[in-house]
Amino acid sequence: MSEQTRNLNQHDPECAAALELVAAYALGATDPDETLLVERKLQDCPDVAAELAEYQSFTTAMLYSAPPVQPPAGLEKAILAAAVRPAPAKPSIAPTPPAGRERRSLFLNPRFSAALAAAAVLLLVLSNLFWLSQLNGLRDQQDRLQTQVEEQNTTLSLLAAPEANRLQLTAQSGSQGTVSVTWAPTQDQQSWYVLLYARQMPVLSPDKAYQLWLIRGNEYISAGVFQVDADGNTLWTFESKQPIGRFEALGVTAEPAGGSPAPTSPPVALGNI
Amino acid sequence: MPVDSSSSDNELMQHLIQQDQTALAELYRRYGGAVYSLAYRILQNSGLAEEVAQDIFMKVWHQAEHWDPAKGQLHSWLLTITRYTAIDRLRKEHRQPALALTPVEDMPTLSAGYGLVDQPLWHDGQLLRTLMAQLPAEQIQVIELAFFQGMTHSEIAQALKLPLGTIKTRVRLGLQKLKTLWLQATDQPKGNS
Repeated sequence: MSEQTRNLNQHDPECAAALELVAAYALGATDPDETLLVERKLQDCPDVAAELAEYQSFTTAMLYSAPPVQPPAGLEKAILAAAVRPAPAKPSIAPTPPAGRERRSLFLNPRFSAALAAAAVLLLVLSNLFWLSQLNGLRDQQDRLQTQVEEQNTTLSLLAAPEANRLQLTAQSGSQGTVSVTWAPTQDQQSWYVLLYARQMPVLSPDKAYQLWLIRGNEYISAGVFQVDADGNTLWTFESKQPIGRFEALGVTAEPAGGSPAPTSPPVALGNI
Repeated sequence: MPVDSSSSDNELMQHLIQQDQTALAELYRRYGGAVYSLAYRILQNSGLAEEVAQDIFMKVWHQAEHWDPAKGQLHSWLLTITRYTAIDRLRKEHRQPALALTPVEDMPTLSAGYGLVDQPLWHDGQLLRTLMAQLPAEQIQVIELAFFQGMTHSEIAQALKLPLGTIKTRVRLGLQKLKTLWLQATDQPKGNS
């Protein structure tokens, strides 16, 4: 903190207090009274505004800091289906009192009969709506499962096709286990199905993961991270937007769990495409 | 002109305003992974994350005209909405805040098909995550509770059963250290503060 800032803060204790809170404010962690203080002093205290701008770049970056996770297979289809689904109609209630009868009975009292009929219709409509929503939910679930099965079958059949590419990565010095990667274009040629099969790799601690890299010259593009089971094996299938065949090599390194922007350790397995 | 993978985000949103479903599909292909990943990070539940992700894309589908390109990038807008929606859902579900993350071996398969891999902000975010790992555990915890659970100082103090002053200090020192690490990692000169 500069001398000028310290002097400013000394003259206005609220500036100093706001400066202490500005990082938490950018994070959204301030309590309501603290939020009011920071917002009130943004105009009066230039350092508060400057600090806030710096910390807000953090909070923006934090939006992108979640470990990348594969969405469920049917999510895209569910979203597209929801976009075409018409808005559900509001339930219509049309109480229709039954015609009166001559018998002397509470049920034949016109007012009671009308109320009973209205309640019966309401119950029927609500019951139908409930079961309709259940049915729609089951249909959606069935669609999702069907899509998942179809996608898996498509993936496996593409990967088994003669035109699929296969690469066996070589364990690097001091490493053990084997890694093979198979890839084939999707039917629309817009992406690639990839299958990675690792055997007898060293099991990493829970705070680490293996990371697959697409390598071209000095460029390393992450294809994702994976874990192996207690035997050092894993079978991992995923869809990649990157044209794997246009890279020069594939490599695997051990990284912090969640992956790294660039390799931080020598490769444990490497193969030239 | 039909929308495709080479269309700009502006063009994509114009098509969405026209209710073009191919634009919705392209939007999902670009950012569905990021939206789902952030929702999952917050909710730690794949079913709820899926519902929130669907909710986000429906919001954009019905309110595409609300995005103002002058205020920032489309994916930043999407992820900001995702964060708020997921935190709201967390509160509605009355879920206890995750004071510890799901172990790595229990997480869904990590994804390589991630539309943001070419974006500098994604790399910034992943770098920030690795830098955060260098902070003391108690500072990481409070920062994550604030950002990914939407908790304030008082709420964190109550959840962790610690004095309010302790929580404020941990948040402040944690973020200050993170800023220093960030400036070092990105080779930026430090400010006057």
